[in-house]
Amino acid sequence: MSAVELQSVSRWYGTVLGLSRVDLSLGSGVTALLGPNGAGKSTLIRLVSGQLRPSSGNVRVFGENPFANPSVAAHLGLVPEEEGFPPRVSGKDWVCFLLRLHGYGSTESSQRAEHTLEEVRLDTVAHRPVSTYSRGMRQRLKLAQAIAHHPDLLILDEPLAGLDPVGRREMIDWIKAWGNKGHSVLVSSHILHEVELMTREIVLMNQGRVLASGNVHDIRRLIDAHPHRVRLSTPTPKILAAQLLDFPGIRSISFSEEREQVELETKEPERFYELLANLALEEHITVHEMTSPDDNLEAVFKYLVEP
Amino acid sequence: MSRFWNSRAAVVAQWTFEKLLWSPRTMVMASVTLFPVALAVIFRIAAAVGLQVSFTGFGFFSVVTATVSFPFVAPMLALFYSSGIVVDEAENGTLPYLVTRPITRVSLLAGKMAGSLALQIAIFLPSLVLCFYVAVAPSGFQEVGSRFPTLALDAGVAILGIAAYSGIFAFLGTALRRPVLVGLIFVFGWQAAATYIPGFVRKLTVAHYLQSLLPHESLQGALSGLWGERPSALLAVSVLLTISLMTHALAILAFSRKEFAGRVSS
Amino acid sequence: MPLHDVSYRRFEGTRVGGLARIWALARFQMLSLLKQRRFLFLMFASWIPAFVRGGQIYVAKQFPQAVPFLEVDQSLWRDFLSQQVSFLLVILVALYAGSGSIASDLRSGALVIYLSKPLSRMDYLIGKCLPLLAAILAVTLLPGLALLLFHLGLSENWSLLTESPWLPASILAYSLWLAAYFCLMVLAISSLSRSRRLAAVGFVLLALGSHALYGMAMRMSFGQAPAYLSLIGASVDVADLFFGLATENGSSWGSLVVMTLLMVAGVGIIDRRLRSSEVAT
Repeated sequence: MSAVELQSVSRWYGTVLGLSRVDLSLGSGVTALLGPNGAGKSTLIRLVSGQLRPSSGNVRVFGENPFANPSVAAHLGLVPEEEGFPPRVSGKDWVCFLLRLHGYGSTESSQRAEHTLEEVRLDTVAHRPVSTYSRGMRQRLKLAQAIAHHPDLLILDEPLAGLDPVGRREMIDWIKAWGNKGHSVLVSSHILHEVELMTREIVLMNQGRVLASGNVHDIRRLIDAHPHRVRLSTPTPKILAAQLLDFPGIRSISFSEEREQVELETKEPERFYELLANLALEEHITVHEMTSPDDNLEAVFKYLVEP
Repeated sequence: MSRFWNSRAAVVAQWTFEKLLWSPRTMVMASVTLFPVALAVIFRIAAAVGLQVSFTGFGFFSVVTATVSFPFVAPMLALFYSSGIVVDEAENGTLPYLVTRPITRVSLLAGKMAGSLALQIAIFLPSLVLCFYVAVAPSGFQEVGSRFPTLALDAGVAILGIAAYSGIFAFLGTALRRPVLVGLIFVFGWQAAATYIPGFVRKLTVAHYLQSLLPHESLQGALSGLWGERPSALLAVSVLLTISLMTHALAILAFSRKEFAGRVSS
Repeated sequence: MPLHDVSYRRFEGTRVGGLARIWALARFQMLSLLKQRRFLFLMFASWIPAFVRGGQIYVAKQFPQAVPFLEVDQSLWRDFLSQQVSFLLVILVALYAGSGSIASDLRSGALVIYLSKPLSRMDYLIGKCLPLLAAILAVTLLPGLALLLFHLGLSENWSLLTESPWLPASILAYSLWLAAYFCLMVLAISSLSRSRRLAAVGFVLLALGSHALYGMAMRMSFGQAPAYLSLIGASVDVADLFFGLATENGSSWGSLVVMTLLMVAGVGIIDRRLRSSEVAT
């Protein structure tokens, strides 16, 4: 059973369409939710976390409707995008209180809170009011309250926002580790190159619809409208370029003798790689490096989202 | 009993009570509830310096209770705290944390309402008792002793009244975006206007039943002029309890169905 | 043929002056208020006493012998305007239009953005005051003048104006005084909180709490307590001064002084709060 299932889910805010007939299934590991502002990411997160009801369709988390459902909430941890803490409360008190809502006694809540705050490196400031925390500390506190009860599904809405580079790195490592433990993690972010460090499984959204979901490379392969770009480093770019001209499936070639590079576009990347290998052997052409500048998340995002 | 106190609703109630108790806004409200005590002090000073005063100590306490404590202080307390039960969490941005916990919406709101109500009573009753002692004690211990049952009844009426107002404002706070305005119109508009409208209309106010329960015989003539004939104590208590229970239940119902779209869209 | 320069160029035109900036802020707030149906309903409801007074004027004109006690003189306008306060209509309008005015900006961080523009603190304050003044004047000055025009329209001669030539000025002055007073009071309280709701309750506590205190003081002192103990009482008490009517005691002047001091204190509180927001937090 998937952790999260959405079946033809739509959600309106008055006349504004937040989500449009979304079908989605999420299992264990880290899944990244990507899309520009207004794509519907936060709406989807609120539906999955049980804060909103769908206008139509079904949302199932661990097989149940998550809206106002304590039994689903017991297995859920949410790191919301908004910053919100009660005034004049210490970090530990806040985590303790939320743990007590999970049914833990006061002693166990206290111990769990201390342990979790140590895990997110807030142990030295646990007794200080949250209002004195820096932005990064608050983000870590949000994470602490979400994981203190060891949820099976962790949802993070823009967890990297406001973090410095070190903090972002730590958060990414932490998210990956949580996913590697077999838990389900759904993370929404705008920072593409950092999402790539977290996972290759993405759900790409725009204007309330899911444009693509799955592995980044698989998605890239399916985008026929944009041929793949391949960049080759070779000491003989002119000769290589001349040889490649005869290849079927090549849309364009450019080369630079100064940079010792050949760059081409092809709609059949797999076939091209095979032919290149044969060419290099038969014609004794040296290729130092081969890269694909657009076989990445940014390219997928750009090709699918931008008009 | 232990199971109740360890229940999640009790956890929420305790958290709500503790966090509100030591907040700056409670300091402000506590000073408001001291209005009647301040008046009692002024009364005592006036009597002590030989100024002509038209009341006995207990008479003064009766008037203050009937004209300041119950019609103004009690509803303002309830409006201040109960209307913000959900709104404050939404404004602080803490609502997503609460509604995504394994606690039913009923328990969550019941806990918050219980904590808030307990705090309102904890703020109001000491003011009432203090006002009584400041006003009546100089008349002698015998006077205090003989009037003490009245104070106890006043305290009971206060709890009923605060519970009724609290329920109304909790429901308004859950159902409306601007509960303060509607609450003010109800307390100081509708309830005030109802004194001028004869007949059944007066029965559609909380003040009508509260005033009828006040055990201050000296005021009943004046109060009857304003509020019409008193209903029986049993009827008044039943109506106030019903108002309290029904409005709290409506608040819970409204909250159970509410969705929270948050402040940021993406 | 020269290529067109598309690089950055400084604006070399004329920038608009301070009044236009103030108006931009005020207009923004006014439009957002006017879009709210509840506000429009409240404004309409606040005109009901004016319609009742209009009926009174009509009856007094049509049946002067039958209702000799409904004489129309300047005390009608004094009573009407002061009752707009004592019936809490002005308070409700000020509450709705102003309680969240500065509090919301403090909460959202918009205040820092406003003050980072070429907008002084005074510009900001005036921009915040204007919509509130307009709202209060809409339920005091406008109905007051409308009643005056209605009365004059029903009159064969304008004896009221010949007997009370200062009446229009009195209506204007008293309305402006009330508007300025309640505007500054509610904005001062709004500046003390980051929550619209708490600011509203705070304003109500001040207005109605002081009035309850005044009521109790009246009882204790056999009706001798000064009206300036109450925010509402003071604003009703000064009406006699504006309309040139005899006051029973000197408390009207006392109320005027107290109201002035409160307005100055209100400006001081707002200025202090606006200053503190300029320091990085």
